[in-house]
Amino acid sequence: MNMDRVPNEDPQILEALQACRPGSDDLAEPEMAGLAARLAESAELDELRGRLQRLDVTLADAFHDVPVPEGLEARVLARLAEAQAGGVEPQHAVASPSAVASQPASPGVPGRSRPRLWRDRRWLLAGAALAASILILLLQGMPRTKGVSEEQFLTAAIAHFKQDREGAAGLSAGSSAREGYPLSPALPWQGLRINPRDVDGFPRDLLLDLRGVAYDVMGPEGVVATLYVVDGSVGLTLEGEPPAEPMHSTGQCCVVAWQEGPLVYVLVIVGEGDVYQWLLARGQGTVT
Amino acid sequence: MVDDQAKIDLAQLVAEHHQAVYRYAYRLSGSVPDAEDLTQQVFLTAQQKLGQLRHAERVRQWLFAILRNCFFKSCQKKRPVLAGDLSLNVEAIPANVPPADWIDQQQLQQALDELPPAYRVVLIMFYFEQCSYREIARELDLPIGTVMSRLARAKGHLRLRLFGSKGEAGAGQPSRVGSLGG
Repeated sequence: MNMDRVPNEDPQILEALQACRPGSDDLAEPEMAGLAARLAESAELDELRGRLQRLDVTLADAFHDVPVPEGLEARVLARLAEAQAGGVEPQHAVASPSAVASQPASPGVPGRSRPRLWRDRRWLLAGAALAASILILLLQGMPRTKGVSEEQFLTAAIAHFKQDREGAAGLSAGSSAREGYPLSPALPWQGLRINPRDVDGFPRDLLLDLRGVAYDVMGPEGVVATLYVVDGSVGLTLEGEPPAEPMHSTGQCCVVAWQEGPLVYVLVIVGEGDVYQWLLARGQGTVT
Repeated sequence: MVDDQAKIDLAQLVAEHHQAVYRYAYRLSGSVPDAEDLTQQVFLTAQQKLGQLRHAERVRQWLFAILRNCFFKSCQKKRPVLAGDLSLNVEAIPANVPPADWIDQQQLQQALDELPPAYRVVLIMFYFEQCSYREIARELDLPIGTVMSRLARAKGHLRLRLFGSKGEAGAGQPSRVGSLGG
């Protein structure tokens, strides 16, 4: 068997191959039809599947090989008893597991619990503060944060990009790009063929209603990447410059996002990290 | 005041599942203190929400779901997401698969720690919980394609770190395991 990388195999087939669990009927699922067909054609691929699944069995066993500290059960039960006495509030503690360990141990005596009235007042105050914060946000016209995770946002950005590419013929390019959404100075793209266009409601899937400009980086056969420059909070903590590596990738695309002042920059690329690195370093020339 | 039934159920819950929860937590966090903290958090949360458990036969999956939530909330530090080569490196798949106890646990955990949390969770759900890619997608509310992509990359990373490019266990660094070829 050829021991090099699997030649000429569709990356999606290879992903599907690795998603099948040993001894399961995963291969019978509809999305595995392509893989099943390839396995029927290729004894080499089928042999590879066997090796991968034998390795999966071994790794699954290895994953469970973790020694459990002595006395853990007793400590957990003690902690639960402490919590029942009113000493621990898990919702606060989960924000930082390490912080839990640093909390002072509760003696678990009645004096530890605050009077109910005091606690109720505290919640009332917290509720009032929260309501005031929401009101301020509404007054400032910043209700765009929908509480999406970074992953949701990046996934939606890729989906938006793919929809853009599919409908590329209908995109308005060039003259209509609005002002105030410049290319990032962090990206030296002077030599690339770039078509700017207005963008609204970015990304579509999340209905965040962000607006700005999309800069399509053109290759010989169409758009190879798009930099979306939008304003408004996306409710995420983003870095202030393009990150060194793609933050997310799926469906043969990868994506990065960062924030410069009020502008959020989202760059979606056809390809993987090497293409991103190439774009980062790109100063002159054209996309090939 | 908690009634006796709840106490019994909770104690039973801890007795039956604390080891599995801890092991899962250790794979996620990569450290003994954090794993113990996460384990305690899981049962504290379970204690509060025990009344919401509808399917007693799925209690372990329920605890694991709580654990994943606790873990994600604890991930304050941003880490780059692995976006490596999608091609499958056959050389990193050992011809003769070693038994599980030959795998260097330190290397295994180090390889997991190197993965971004979103990839690590998918991998641990696959290997530790033995979830299907469909179950992972449903639990994490991700597209199936995303799960497959993450699994492929994370597994590739794991194989490379454990077996290097020559299909040998411990190829990433000196190890107690030598060549497994032949």
